[in-house]
Amino acid sequence: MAVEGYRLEKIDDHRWRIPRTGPMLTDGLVFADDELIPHIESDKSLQQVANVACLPGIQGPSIAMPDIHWGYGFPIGGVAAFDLEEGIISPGGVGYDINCGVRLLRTDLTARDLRPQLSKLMDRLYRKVPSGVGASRSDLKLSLHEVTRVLSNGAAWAVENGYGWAQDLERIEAGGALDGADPDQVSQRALERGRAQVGTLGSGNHFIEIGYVSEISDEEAAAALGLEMGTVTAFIHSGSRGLGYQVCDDYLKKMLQASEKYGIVLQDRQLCSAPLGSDEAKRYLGAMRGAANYAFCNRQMMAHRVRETFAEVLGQSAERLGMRLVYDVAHNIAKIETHRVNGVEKKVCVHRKGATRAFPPGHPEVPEAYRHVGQPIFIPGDMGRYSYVLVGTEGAYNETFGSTCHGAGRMMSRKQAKRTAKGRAIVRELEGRGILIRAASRATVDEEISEAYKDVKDVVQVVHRAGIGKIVAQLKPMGVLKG
Amino acid sequence: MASVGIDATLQYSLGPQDIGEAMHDARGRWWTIEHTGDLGIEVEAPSLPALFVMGACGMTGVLLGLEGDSPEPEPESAALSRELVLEAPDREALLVEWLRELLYIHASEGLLFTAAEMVELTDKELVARASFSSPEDEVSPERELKGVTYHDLELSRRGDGWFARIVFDL
Repeated sequence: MAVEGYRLEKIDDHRWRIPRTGPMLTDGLVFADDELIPHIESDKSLQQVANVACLPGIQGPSIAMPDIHWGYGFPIGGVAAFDLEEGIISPGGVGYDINCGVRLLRTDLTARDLRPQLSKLMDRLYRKVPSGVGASRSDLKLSLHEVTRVLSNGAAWAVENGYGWAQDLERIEAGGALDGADPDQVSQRALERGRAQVGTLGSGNHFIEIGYVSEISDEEAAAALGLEMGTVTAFIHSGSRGLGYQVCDDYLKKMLQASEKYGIVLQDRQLCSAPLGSDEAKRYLGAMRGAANYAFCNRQMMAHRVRETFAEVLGQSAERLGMRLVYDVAHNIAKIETHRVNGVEKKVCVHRKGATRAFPPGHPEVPEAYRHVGQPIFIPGDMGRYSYVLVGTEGAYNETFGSTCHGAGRMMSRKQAKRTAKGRAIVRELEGRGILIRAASRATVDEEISEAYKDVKDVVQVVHRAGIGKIVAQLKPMGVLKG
Repeated sequence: MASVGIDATLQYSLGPQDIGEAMHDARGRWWTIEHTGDLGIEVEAPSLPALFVMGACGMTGVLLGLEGDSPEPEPESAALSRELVLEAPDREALLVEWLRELLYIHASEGLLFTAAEMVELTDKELVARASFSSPEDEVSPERELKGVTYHDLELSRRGDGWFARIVFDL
């Protein structure tokens, strides 16, 4: 049974509280302003924030970011931390697409340099990066043993095999490989699904977006990240593909049994979980970390393809084009991290489902090159407007377990979006605005129209003003490859 | 401090009336429901085994980009069939398990469910002979489903028949 009779109280211009009631063990804390709240209230996402607040061992509030929307179990845009002894881990708090995340490459090119070659670049990218429903590779099918090596070594596996540069690894969350991955906890089914999908984009909201820096809000941070006005960039948004979905599926079943075994009362069965100290939790953590590493490797291999494509089309090497990795960060993950809870530093298990890590300046896990400005954060918008680069803040570290938003957040169901797009030629409309779309399916383009999403500017302004992220730059799209 | 009440009784904004004149045939029917982040279906059927079959037809329909149907399962067009034996702690979880198994077969082999004969169906066990169309057939999926969730799951008696709601992760 879901929590009933909860209320929403305004705390200040950017914070709302769902006071603890009934089975809730803590308050809900929602980051939003007066404009976003009606959207958030229009679906069941606040109910889900309240449901998560009922899970045992939750530390601090059950948190919702301004891009929150109705997910399954945990809301999308939710953050929840749990005590290592009394708390739980829940595969539903990570999601099917384990370590879905975003990486950003920068170049020395300007938008003006690239424009004449853009169409050719997008065509080549479309051919080189397998995308669309069930995308898999005909040119690379790993042995099961190699898949287990990917699960252990993450992005380093790709670099060792010639896909990328050694210095890329310093600029990936956790160095591109989470410690504690245990391939033995990943089912044969999941391993099989991972054999031919490394380096593939997939479908739905995944994309590769070529864009340029259209606005700079923080000169110092932008300079540290290698972003100047007009700089051409490439976003890659994807995750762990079928391997990750299968790990989630396998463990949801186990966690449903574990919830009963350990007497965990569930407001929604999709919140099924196990105590963090249990054998079931350890197995899931080992498998989930392996899937997360597969995702880091997946994005690394696609980044390599993006570099290759730029080099081919522009007739210069990726090194000459200055195609450095800015950063790569997850937004669907659970991690054991040290945070201050009630004034005391302690280890907790932070679930970020549709939320991005946002560590502050000076944190040892922020790459040295960025340590004076904070960890880079990427907040993609919809394909027709703009995206944002932010950096992490002390505010996020103190208030949200070092987390911030992850995207614009859907406002329309896919069905509504399709109805809105009916009779329109979305690809041509965008082309008229200088944005080239290459997509495996028209349906995906229709479902992903700009109007289906909140304006990402409204979302990032809330996190900026609330102090849980700091806006650095705005990027505008020039070409988008969709699944 | 302002206070805003939350309507905890949100309804799905689309119901069967919105999918046209689909006839309620003896096998049942399914239709998609609105969900901001993901996608769900609701299913009606005269019996529990028919509900399981119609739920699977609905999942195939969702993969193909359809919004609802009252299909005749088509075993004769099937490229192959397979016996599935599944277990789950209860009836609701068994429905999810059944759809997960069919989704795995689709994801790993490209096969699409077309029909099934339920050989045995209890609260915790299912034995079925499921038929599939092959990837070479002229049907291509329009979307990828990441998983079948327990969220908002419902399986209940409704009138003389049965009703289920299933939410997929897209």
